[in-house]
Amino acid sequence: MSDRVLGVGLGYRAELHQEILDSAGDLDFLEVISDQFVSALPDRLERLRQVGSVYPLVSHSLAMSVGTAQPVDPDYLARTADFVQGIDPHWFSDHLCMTKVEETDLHSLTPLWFTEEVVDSVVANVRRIRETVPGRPFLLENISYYLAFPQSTMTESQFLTQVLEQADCGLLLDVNNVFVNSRNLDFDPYEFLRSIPLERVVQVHIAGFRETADLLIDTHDSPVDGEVWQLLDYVCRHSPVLGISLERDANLPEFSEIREELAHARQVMRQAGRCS
Amino acid sequence: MSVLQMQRAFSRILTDAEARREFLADRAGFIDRYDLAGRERESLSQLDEGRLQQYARLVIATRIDLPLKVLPLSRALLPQDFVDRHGPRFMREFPASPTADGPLQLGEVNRLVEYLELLLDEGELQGGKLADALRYESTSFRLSNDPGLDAARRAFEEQQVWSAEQRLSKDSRLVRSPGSALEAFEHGIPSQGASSAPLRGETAQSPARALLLKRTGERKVHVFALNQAVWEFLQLCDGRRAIQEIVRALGADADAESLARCQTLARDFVQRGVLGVAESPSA
Repeated sequence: MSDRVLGVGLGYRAELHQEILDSAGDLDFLEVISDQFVSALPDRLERLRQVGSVYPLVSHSLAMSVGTAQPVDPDYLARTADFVQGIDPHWFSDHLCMTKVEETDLHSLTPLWFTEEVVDSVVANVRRIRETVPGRPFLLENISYYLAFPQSTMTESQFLTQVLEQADCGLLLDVNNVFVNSRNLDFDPYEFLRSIPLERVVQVHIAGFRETADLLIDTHDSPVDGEVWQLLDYVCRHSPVLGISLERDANLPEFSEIREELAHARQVMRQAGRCS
Repeated sequence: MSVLQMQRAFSRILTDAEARREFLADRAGFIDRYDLAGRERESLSQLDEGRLQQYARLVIATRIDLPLKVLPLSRALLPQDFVDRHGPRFMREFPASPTADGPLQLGEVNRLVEYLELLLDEGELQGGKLADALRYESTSFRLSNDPGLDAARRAFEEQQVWSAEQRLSKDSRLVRSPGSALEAFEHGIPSQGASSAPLRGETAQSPARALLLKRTGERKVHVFALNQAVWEFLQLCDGRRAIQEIVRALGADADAESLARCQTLARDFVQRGVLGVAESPSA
């Protein structure tokens, strides 16, 4: 994998199209959700070409469902592969989770059972993905989850480590997810970070969450929390991260607020010596 | 393969409220329906009930939230307790089966729109502004994202390159573009971006008629407020009637003056990409 640092990026959202085009000084790259463009009509693809001519792109998918214990849906994978080859991103990624079984689409990033059998099936799926999209780095992202399966034979960090090492793939580390999980499932987020292979971090996600009576929910609809910024700082100092991207999906603020968060992320990356 | 069976059982428990009730009432009996190994059975049977219920609600909320992102006016008009009151029935009657083809979001938007229309018909949701907003947003979404409509519109526009060269005659049969839709709204046009101001004497709350138009190469769906006469004229442009028949259907004499006025109106709409001429080059 190229070790070129991309810098600070933003998840592309159609509502922000013009502001994104006008922000070349504040933004270094864009993360594009492949599912929003696979089979999209030509008008939408044209808008993607517009932003792609200004910014380097990385591709992010939502529904390969690498954790379902059967081969990744070949149709979905083929369409994603076409998209990835078409936009020539620096890398592409999806989540370490399950989103569907044959008869049901959960439309949610659903946790896995942390066992050796599931590690094996995920690793087999990652290999299928890389065979279908050769020559392009593939990353897995840790998810936020609200329910843990009993009778797991390992912790989440052990599971994540085994998958990344056996599949030999990079990590898209979502530090907001780490924080949300640490609060909901009662563990120390720094201990989690110390126990995963941070040397495999390629990209980091930052985002906001919503606090309910008994859970933190990963909603991407609020500013990044102070404790998440601290986790980002830790990760930047202990990993070879190449890009940090902000995810903001709802309750969109004035773009100036997004610019401030991007500037904050750049400052964290710079202070850690990860970018100039 | 039994991990897959475990995942299928878990997916069913999450998405089907009745299955979840059965599972919580008799975990062993429910799990027996799946071919699971010992530890898989134990894992499912030890799931925390509180967390399971919380997560099942989140799955419903997430599924409903995704299509609502493209229906923001409708979303703002839904009751606060929509997910809790109507979510389980949506999951039951409109199962979340994987989308086979086409833009991945289109199937889910169509399913939710169909469900909301059903609730409006049944009186479970209050109509009025919500019905208007839903029709406006779902029509705009389909005009912008439906591959079938897109292909038909492109074919129509290509055909009209030829037709535009032709002079409109009283025998020309006019047809609306597949990229257009005529919609009547009880409480005014829901969009803030209507291209034309409401007609004189109307307020934003008055019944309104509108033409929604998506043209190739343009991102936005244009919205034009229509008066009664133009609305009726466009409705009659169905590809079967000649201009002189449209004039008669509008209750006017098909004299030279009426025909000329109608032809002028038709030419304007042809130039805007709303109407085309139905004849084929060989006709």
